[in-house]
Amino acid sequence: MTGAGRAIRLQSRTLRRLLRSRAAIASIIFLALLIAVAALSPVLMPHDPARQDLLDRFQGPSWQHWLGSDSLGRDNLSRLIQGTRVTLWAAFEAIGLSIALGIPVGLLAGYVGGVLDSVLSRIADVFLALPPLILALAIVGISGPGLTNAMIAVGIVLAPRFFRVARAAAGSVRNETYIEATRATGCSTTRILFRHVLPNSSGPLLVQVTFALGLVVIAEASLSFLGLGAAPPTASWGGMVQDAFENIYSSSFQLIAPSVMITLTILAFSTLGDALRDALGRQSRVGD
Amino acid sequence: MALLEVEDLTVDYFTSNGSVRVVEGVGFTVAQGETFGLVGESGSGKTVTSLALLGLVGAPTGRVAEGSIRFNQRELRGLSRRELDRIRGRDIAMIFQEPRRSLDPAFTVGDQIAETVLAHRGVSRREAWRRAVEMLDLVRIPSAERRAHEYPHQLSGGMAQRVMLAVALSCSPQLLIADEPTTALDVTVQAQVLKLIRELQRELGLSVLFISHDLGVIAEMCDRVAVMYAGQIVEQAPVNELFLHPRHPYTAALLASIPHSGIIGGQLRAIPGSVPAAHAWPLGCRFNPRCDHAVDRCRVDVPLVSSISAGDNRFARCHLANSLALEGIS
Amino acid sequence: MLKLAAGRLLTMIPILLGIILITQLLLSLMPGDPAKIMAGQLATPEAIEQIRIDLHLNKPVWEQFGYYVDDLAHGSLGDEPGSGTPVSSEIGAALPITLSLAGVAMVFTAVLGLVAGTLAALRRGRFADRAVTATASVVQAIPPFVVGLVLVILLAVNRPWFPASGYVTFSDGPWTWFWHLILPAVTLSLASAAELARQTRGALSDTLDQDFIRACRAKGQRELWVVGKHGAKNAATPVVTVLGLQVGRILGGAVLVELIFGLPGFGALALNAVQTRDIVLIQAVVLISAVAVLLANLLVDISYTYLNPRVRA
Repeated sequence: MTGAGRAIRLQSRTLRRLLRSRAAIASIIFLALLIAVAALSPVLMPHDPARQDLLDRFQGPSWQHWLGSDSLGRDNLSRLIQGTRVTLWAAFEAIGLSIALGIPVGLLAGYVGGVLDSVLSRIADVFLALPPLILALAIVGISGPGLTNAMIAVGIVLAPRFFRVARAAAGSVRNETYIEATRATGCSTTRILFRHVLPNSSGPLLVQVTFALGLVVIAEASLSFLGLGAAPPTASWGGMVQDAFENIYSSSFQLIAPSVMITLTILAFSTLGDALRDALGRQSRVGD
Repeated sequence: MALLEVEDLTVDYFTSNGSVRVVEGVGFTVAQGETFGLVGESGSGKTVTSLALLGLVGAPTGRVAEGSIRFNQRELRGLSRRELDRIRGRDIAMIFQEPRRSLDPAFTVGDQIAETVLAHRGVSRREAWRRAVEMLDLVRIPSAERRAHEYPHQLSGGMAQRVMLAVALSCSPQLLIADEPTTALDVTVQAQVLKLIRELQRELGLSVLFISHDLGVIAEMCDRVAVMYAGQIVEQAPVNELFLHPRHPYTAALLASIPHSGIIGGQLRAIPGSVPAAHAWPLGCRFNPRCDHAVDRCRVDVPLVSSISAGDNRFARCHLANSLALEGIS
Repeated sequence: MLKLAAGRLLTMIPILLGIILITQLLLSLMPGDPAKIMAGQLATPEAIEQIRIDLHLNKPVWEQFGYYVDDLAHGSLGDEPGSGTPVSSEIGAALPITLSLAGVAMVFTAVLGLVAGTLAALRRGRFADRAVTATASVVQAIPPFVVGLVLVILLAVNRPWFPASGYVTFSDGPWTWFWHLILPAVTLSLASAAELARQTRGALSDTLDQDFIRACRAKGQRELWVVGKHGAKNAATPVVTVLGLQVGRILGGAVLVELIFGLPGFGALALNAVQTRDIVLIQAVVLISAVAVLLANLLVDISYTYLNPRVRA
């Protein structure tokens, strides 16, 4: 049951348009590879990422260590691979929380309107008034460091964005005829929201998810860099950069691999997000 | 003496499908003190023609491919931006169809008139402002002094068009190009603005190139008229002649399709078909698919402009121009 | 305009109260015993109990909220548990450093972003435009701490052209002050400049497509005038909006940058607060950050009334 008018549904037509962009295809391939590496990481890692070898510190690339070794003699490549899994898993956690918090509340606010909408919007505005990293820091400060806590913080920080998009989408779809028809048949509000409003707003929501994933990667990397994310000996890309920073006078080579991975991942997400938005494009843009 | 001479003007537009010819072989003259009308439906190329005169068609929109535009015997085509700037607003001025969109919403009305004066005359700011108020007066805007401090969004459509006129006439140009100046206005306001243009023309000895799709307005305002269709001029004549004795089937069809008060209970005849798009102009005569009088020759040979009466004031682009007896209106 | 400013300042208050309330609520959800965590591992039971009393941790949430607001009304952001140092003096020492950093970074952002964005808009579709847009995308994807580290390595470690760390106050020598701030400010400003460049390009392009720009040219105005006066003022609204948004981004980035460059500013203070689980300081940091962002928004809104006459009514 599709709606005409302003429903912006993710359809095969959109997917086809998306796949016409070479940048989008490159991003998708890259991200797919990343997911594969993360999934297969135990198999792919040549060494135990936590194994230290203090005689072998700060090695450059060699047969034994393709990407060299770090300040404690650990193999950089293995740590990079482990970091891939850590980053993707963390991103999944954070986004999951964000979506669970932001979308249902947003849909409700947009659909119902009125006082509920005003109050919820004000709360979202309050959250959005704070610089994201500061808010994340505050939450970590309260809950304590650690990757899971850090991702909870990031999830909370990003939830208002999903709130806004979901609210706008619900608000624009609310008055469509097919929604009224569904209401007339006595459907409950929850059912209407999840079975009709949500699928028809899936386009802009997916765009927002893609961009948010990029933000999560930056946030996780930043928090790990600050020592508040993944705790050693677990490897994470941000943590590897922190290691590089602390040993900056000994070896500047350590910086390259994790930085490149972080940057490419973020670039992939933002490129994909842009392409997705363009593919959905000619219809009205809903939300942020 | 001819103020403006246009010869063989040809304009291409750059679209996503490549370069498209939108105006071809257009030529006409405007004499001193005369009001010359350019009439046609949308898509005929009349607006593009007017923009090209002032050099407003260029990269990345399009280019003037061929032709000559002479103002006071001086060739305008090929002039540098700096030289064009000296002519625009000072010798030739232009007003546009949507007056409120053609005024900058961020600056006062007075400021926009004054800046034109400042650009062309070496006067002080105070003097330029004084002139701005004077111009608002000239276009019959009450409380000119106060109005000068207002912003475009505070004006009605008719008021905005008067302001546009004030801007255009602030440096006493010789030629005013008016591109559909009243199309976006209410009918009563239309009449007022047209009356104003006529009066100003008399007072200032202005020549006007008047562009419109509305034959009624053309009849009211113009001395001579050219009819455009699919990027070409298909007929040119003094206004009375055009209306009484049209020589091109398109002109006749246009005349037959307008309601006029003389005839009650007569039939409005719409022209069958629609105006062809610029990249899909028919072969031969461009009007032939819709023409009642088309013969085989019309589908193959492109008709050249043929002169009808002695003196270049009358011609039509039709193979049968001299033989058809077409119906006009009185 | 003053009326607008006063009105907006008033609406800031409920938002700030909301933030205080939310932080109080979050604190009440804190796992473990806040007093013990703040006191540290070596603290005596008496010290822990003292903290509990000082911070009213045994009282219900709304009472805590009340105490906090009351303190605030008396100009206090609380005192450090244990040492008793007023938080406001700590912030007072750190804030000027971050303000210097943020100020220089905003200037870099504005200059770089506006120039690049204008260039791209004026050469739309051509090489300069595509180069700017592509570069901006890539730059925005690079995490700020990576930028900082790269700059430090290239320009301070490998080649000691710039100092790798440290802050010099303005009164000790303006040039050295600036010299120490260049690398950190550039680091902070790059991502923001990229965003600004994209927005400027979009806004200016859209403006130059408008009818009144064509009408301006038809009046014989020189192109520089058309773009610089008419184009700029009309494109300014979205540009100023984006500029205002960068304040929040720069405040967040300051945490990372101050760590990398060893600047004892507000960001470093915030990080320290989080590392030591210092709740009092964390609350103050959140509050001050919110004030900064809201003030920036206020300035942006005030500028709208100047830029867009339709807003004035």
